[in-house]
Amino acid sequence: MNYPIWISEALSGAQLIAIIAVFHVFISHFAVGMGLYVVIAEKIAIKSGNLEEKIFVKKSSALILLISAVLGALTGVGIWFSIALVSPAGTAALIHIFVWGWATEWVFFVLEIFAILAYYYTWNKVSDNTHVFLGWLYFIGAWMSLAIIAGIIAFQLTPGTYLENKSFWGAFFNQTYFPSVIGRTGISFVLAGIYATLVLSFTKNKEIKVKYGRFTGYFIIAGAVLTFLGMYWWVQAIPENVREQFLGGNEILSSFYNNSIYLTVALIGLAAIFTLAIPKYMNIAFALVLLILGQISFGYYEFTRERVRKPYVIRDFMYSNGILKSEVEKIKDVGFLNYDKWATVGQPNDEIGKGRGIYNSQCRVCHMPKGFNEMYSKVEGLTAEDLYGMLDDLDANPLMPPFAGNDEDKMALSKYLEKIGQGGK
Amino acid sequence: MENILIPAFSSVPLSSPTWLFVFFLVFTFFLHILFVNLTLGGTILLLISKYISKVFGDNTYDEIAEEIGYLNTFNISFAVTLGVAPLLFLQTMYENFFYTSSILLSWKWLLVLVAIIFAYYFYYLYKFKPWYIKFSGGKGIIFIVFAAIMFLYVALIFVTNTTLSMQPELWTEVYSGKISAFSAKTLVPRLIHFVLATIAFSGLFLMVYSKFRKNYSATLKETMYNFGKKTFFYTTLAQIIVGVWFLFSHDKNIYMLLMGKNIIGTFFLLISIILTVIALFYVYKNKENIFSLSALVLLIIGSMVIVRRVVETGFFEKYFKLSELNAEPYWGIFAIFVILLILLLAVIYYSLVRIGKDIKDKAGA
Repeated sequence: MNYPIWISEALSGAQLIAIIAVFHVFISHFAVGMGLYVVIAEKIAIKSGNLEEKIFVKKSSALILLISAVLGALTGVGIWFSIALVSPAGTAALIHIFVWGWATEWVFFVLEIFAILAYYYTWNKVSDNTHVFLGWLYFIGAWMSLAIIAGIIAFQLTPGTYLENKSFWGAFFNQTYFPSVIGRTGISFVLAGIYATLVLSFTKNKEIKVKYGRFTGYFIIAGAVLTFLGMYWWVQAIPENVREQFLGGNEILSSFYNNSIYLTVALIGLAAIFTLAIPKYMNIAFALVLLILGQISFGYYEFTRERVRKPYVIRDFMYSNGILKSEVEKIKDVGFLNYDKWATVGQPNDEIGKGRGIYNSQCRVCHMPKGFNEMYSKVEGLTAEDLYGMLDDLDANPLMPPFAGNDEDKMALSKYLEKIGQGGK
Repeated sequence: MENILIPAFSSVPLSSPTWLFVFFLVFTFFLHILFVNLTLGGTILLLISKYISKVFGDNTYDEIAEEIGYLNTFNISFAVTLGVAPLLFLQTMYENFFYTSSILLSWKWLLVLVAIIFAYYFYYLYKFKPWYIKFSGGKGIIFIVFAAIMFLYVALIFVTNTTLSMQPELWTEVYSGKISAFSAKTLVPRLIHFVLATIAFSGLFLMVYSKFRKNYSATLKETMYNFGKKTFFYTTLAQIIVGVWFLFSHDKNIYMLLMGKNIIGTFFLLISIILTVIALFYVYKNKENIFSLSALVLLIIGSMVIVRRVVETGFFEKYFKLSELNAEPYWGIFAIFVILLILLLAVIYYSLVRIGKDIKDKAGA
């Protein structure tokens, strides 16, 4: 017996998760990097004793308070809400394995929120040392969150030794863990630098613009080095058949991967020129261009990372549609509609209704009938008999899970697919 | 029964025995609900004081409204942050119930987050009053009206999700669109009971807070204290009536849990009722010592949180028992969690002491 399916005519499940996730990582990585940025910038400002420099740092820290503590925190919860809606079985499995890891992450989340509130509201009210101390607390909290969540996300693609020995540490310290942490730390520095250009562009004082523009530039370059180091190691660490997929094997994946690299290089190049060479010309239009470029390149990167995991939610363990790899044979015997009673709830009790139910359960998370990754153009004009034959070989495509069900299920699904191919719903 | 379809519990075993998750669920929910109370109840009290100040021209109430507006962005932050933990522990044991009701609520459930984000930013607009807001007549009170609507929506959906998750017998009909997700029994009294609690608690908070602020004028202190006191007294009085209605809106097998059948449920319900009566009497006689009153109320909330757990377990026990869940504990990461949690509390304490000392030093210098 399985879960009811989240059905939306507007978005597919995969799209919903992607939209929230891309938005969230863009904010959350910035929040991590900005922690270090403001601490170092504040130290520079303290050293110079210039009050205006402190005001610049304070404005930068307001960005953390208003963006990361609000949007970052809530979109993070949003990922969680959305994966539970779209992939409840996968979410449950992850929570069972990592619950205390997540709880530990929550401890650092509390530290992060406490520290940013304390940091922001005590500007000029406490000693410099205390204030910098609070800044460090924030950065530690934020970075530790990244370091813990990275383990859980990396686990989904590379489950490490978990599948053999079911150990928490085997799952957490999997082969892409350290490359992910390094790469993401680098990205967080790059993004913090880019957000900082927003504050720089509003700064009227030319000297501050130049001084902190340069600082921002070095920050971005340091981040870029870490990013590419982490990414290179990550590419080496993933399983070979996965790597082949985005290095040419799969057209969409490869172009996404390449786009993300080109855009990141362009982004870093542009940002470095402006912040290092001509910082006094930094303005809002330029800062916005950098932000948008950053969001797009990050979008491509996260899409690549998500799609490369296909057809799994947890590699070699659970497929994207929530069916366990180990259950497929059993479902072929008992029949999908006996296994998943929810599939036919609310559907007419005929073959099309059954087929639609199976479609919703097994296909819809990735394929809308029309729209995102649509089914219509794939089955247009095909007859139920053609389709019936094809269902046995779905997993000939390395990004597709196998069909799970008996002959009767296959027949019902073929009939429904035929209907989609004729433009029906 | 054919139409009760409860999804299978994950085949991955739990990483600790369930009593440990129950403990952390109850404990972190208690912390979370304190700040939820301040957020929602505070928002309502903010609007009421603004209204009083407008109708009676009493500026002190305007100051109270501004003060709550200043404080509430912190409360929202902590309500969200502390809400993550109980949500996590809930999902380790009741995932199949909770995810199903979330799926049935679909967009209504996701919109909760959008509502909180908007309410949060509305509060910042009210607090920092950027642009022309500081010169406008209402000084941005309209944003708090919006925020109140958003928070009430959040409360409604959370209560709906909880009640729906406990009643699998409704699921297939909700899923196929035959009945509304809001048809779950006890929904209305539960919502009213919880909203009243937020107001009562925020009233108490104003009483305590007014005593702590040294730089307030005597009038502001007194007005805030009395406003909080009246709010606390009358809302709690009403709460007794609503509480009875809420209790008996349940099926007999549930409410009997609190009336003898379950010793923990019965004990803590009795304790909360007795303590509530004492608190009311205390306030009525004007004898209140603010510390003992606060301690009383925290005890009442703690007891009610436990009563809530007993009721919900009662609902779920029709379908499964926690003890049936398969656990294969591993303790290493749990030990790290506990050590870090203690360290967190120490660091927060140390930071607050250090901040307090610095502020004093600066004031003295």
